[in-house]
Amino acid sequence: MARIQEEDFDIGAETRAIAGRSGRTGAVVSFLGVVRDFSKGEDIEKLDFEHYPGMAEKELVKLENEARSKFDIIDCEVIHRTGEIAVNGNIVLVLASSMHRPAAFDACEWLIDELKKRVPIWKKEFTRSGHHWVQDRP
Amino acid sequence: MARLILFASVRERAGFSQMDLPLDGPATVRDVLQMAADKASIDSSLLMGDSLLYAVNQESVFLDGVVEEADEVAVLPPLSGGV
Repeated sequence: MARIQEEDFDIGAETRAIAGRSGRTGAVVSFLGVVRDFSKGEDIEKLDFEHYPGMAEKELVKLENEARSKFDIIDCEVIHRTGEIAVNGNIVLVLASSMHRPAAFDACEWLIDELKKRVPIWKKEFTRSGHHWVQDRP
Repeated sequence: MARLILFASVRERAGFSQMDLPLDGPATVRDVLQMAADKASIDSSLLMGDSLLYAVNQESVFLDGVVEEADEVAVLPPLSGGV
């Protein structure tokens, strides 16, 4: 079940949880997004994530449901953090489990790509010279 | 009454995060945003720019989307979740 939360997540615990949901699971693919220390030539000190409470969670649940019908996966899960996150901190975790690895790889990549396009979450970058909202859609 | 909610860059530029607006019958998102801009004495282009998205009751709509009594209208700047 999709989650948006301020607190950090435990990648090992989340991975074991999704793997343990079915005896048919043969693969769990994960994508972890973390804060890097540069953006467009500027040093980044931290990021601040804001979301639309309610709508962001609903859009994430829709994405998970679409992934479950689109790919031959057993389950999937997306966890996105909000608030201020320092360099190297965890931002987002996407997990997909399947019987065989190709479906889990495909679902994981599709989920993070669609999240960026469809889930109402915004990122502010803090540099030494100030801060600004990231406006460009990747 | 409809409630307008702004996020991220739009909230900061407009100078407010939410506003309750009285409705005289059904209106469009465009009507609500024009009313809000007038009330806040800001340029309506801050709330109706090309790159902005809109939602009514947390479902995506266009500027001509219908707004009714007690609806929640949101202006969403370009999304930038993930990494």
